[in-house]
Amino acid sequence: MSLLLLLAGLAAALALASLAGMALLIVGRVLRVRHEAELAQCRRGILELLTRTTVDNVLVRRYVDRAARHGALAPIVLEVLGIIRGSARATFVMHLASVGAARQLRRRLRRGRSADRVRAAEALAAFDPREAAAALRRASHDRDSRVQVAALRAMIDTGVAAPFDEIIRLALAARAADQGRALSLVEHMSATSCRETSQLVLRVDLRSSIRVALIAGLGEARDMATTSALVVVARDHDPYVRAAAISALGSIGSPQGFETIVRALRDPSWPVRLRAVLAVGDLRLASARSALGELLHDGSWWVRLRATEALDALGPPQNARDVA
Amino acid sequence: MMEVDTLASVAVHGIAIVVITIGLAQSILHLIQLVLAALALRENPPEPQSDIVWRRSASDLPPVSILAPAYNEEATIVESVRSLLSLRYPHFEVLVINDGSKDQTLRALREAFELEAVERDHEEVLDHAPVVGLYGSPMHPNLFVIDKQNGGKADALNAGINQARSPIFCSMDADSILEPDALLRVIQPFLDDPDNVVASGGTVRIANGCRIQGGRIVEVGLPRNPLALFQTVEYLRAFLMARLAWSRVGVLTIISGAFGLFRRSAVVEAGGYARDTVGEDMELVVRLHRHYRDRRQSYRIAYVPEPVCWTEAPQTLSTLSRQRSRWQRGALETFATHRAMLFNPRYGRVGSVGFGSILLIDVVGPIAELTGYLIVPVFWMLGVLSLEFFFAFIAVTFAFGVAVSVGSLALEEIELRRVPRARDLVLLTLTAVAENLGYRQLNAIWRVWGTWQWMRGTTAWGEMGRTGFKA
Repeated sequence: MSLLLLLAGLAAALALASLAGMALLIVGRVLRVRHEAELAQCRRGILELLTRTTVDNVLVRRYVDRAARHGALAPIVLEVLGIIRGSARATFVMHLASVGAARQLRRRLRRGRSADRVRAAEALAAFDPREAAAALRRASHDRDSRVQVAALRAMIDTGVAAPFDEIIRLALAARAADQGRALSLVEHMSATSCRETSQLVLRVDLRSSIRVALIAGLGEARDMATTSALVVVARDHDPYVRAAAISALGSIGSPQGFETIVRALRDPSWPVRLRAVLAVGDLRLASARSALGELLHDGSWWVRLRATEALDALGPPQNARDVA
Repeated sequence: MMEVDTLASVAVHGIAIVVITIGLAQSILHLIQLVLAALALRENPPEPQSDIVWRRSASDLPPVSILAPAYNEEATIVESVRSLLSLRYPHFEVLVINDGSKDQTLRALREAFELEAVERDHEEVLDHAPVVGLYGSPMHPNLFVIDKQNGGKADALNAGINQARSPIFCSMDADSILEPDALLRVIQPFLDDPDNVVASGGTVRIANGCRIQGGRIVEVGLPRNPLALFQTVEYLRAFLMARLAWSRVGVLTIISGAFGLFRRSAVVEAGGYARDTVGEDMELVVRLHRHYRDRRQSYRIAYVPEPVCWTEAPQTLSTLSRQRSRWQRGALETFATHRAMLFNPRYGRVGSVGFGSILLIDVVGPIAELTGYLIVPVFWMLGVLSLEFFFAFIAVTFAFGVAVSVGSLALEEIELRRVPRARDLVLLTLTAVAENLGYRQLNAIWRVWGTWQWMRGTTAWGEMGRTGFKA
């Protein structure tokens, strides 16, 4: 057979194979309609836990098991947890735990597609740490970094002792494409355990992006006890670290940090000056009025713009000291 | 005489072999893209629940400026802006740029949103036609309308970039519809890799046949118009296969002008949108590649399959032909402007794979295909070419085409499942076969026409004659 005929035969075979595959997918779609109706029934059954004071545990357990078999339990749990708070949430989780949902999620966390394992870790975060801790700890060493991040975040959320070293190690090892997720986790850890992590920001051997995330977490937590550590890092050699520290000091609003913020208005790096201007505006630091006036001629358009806004926020000078 | 006949026969055989080889190369390229796209979807399946995406990322989301250039959009602009204002995203501003509309676009906006003239300090870093006025809305503090003299879409986007106050901007068409969570999803690459990502594109789908209410798609459906139906399959192939594949290997050379996110500082550094091309979306992405490669800085241009922007597809041959010849001109303009990148080791895979595929698919592809349609069947019937040549040509134009289109549809069904009903899948499968019998050939003609226009220096955009979304 000539090369040309071989090519034609190959192309025809490929076309036929693609059509046959598509036919199978269409049949699969028809069959899936029934399957989806079944899952919808499971979802309704599980949602009934929200409205009923007494529930038929055997029936709900069946729904939970069926949903879990098809990887649909975690999405349903997460959907509900996204809309309820307080005692309703606690009751819902308690009911779920009583019908074995945590056990099913732990099982899902061990196998299946990465996306399913991630959802299982996220859903487990709502359960009692005693139910979830061991499984989450194991998942924090999962082969997929997305599962690791989800498990570590769930550990923080469930109140299981946050494994600082583990999280920092993960952030240091993360590929570029996973950096954001890892740094977000570092920030979350820092925000929830700020007193413990405030010493980490002083470690100059850590990568700048990790220190920035730690500092951002401290700013989010707004714990005044971390101010002195932030005042120290606001003098760091790295402009990104300094900028993050000034932002965090601005969020915390402790008077102990005011002088550092005002001094940062004259920082050689414009992103640091910009953060300082924003902090001055938010905190209404009238003592910075003259420095802000100088920044109206700053080389960076963004600094000039925000300085105008900050001066506007301060309003007209109230007394001679303000003007000075 | 005998010698002349032999020479003619050799020439015809030579041309047929070149045509079949180019067709085969295109087919192999598409099959590779299909495999890469399947791998990308397998590795990073989109999260179907918008709530979960929100919960995971809401606290990390950076502000975004949405730039919506509008030209003669009085019929749809108010609905479109309302839809934009209700996007599910925590911090964003909407900047509508009225690009010198000749109709009542500005008036419609002023009345609907009680616009008032405002002053807003901005960074004038990119050139554009003069701005006539700037308006803000007391009802929506995050809505601004820039009224400027007509200068084209790229010019309007540059004006919007100057006014944008967010580190990231979203460029789109004012007459397109973003899904409520589209911004939330398309921003994800910026969150995953904040140091490197400079642009991220989403999927554009055909809205013809969908039920639309209040600027929202409330029911997904297939178009009844055959041309729009062919385009539905075509868009699936272009986005779900080609862009996803090239994004995976870092050589994506286009982010659709209908929906894309860009880091403002990167675009400003690269010089903004080029105002002298009709393919400003592709040109910008290629320029970003060039900018970063020239400076040897790391960067990434990403594509995310799940955030969706719905657009109205042309339903008449005349409108579609104008659109396709314009796209062809745009691709050729970009190729000509940045031809130094082609196979230049300095530009790595972008120069070889990215630009190589533009050369193959956009530059020589349409001409080779049209030549094949004219030569192969005729000379086979005249007995100059053997049946083998005819079969091989049919294989590379039709059979591989069916395999690739149906393959894209299969990817969609396995990973995204956006097609609502099984019978719609059947219809799309039949369309994927039928598009190779007429529609594909028409496309080849329009693209060759676009090549001719480019060679003659035509720069007109052409009227698009949209009918508008029916509420």
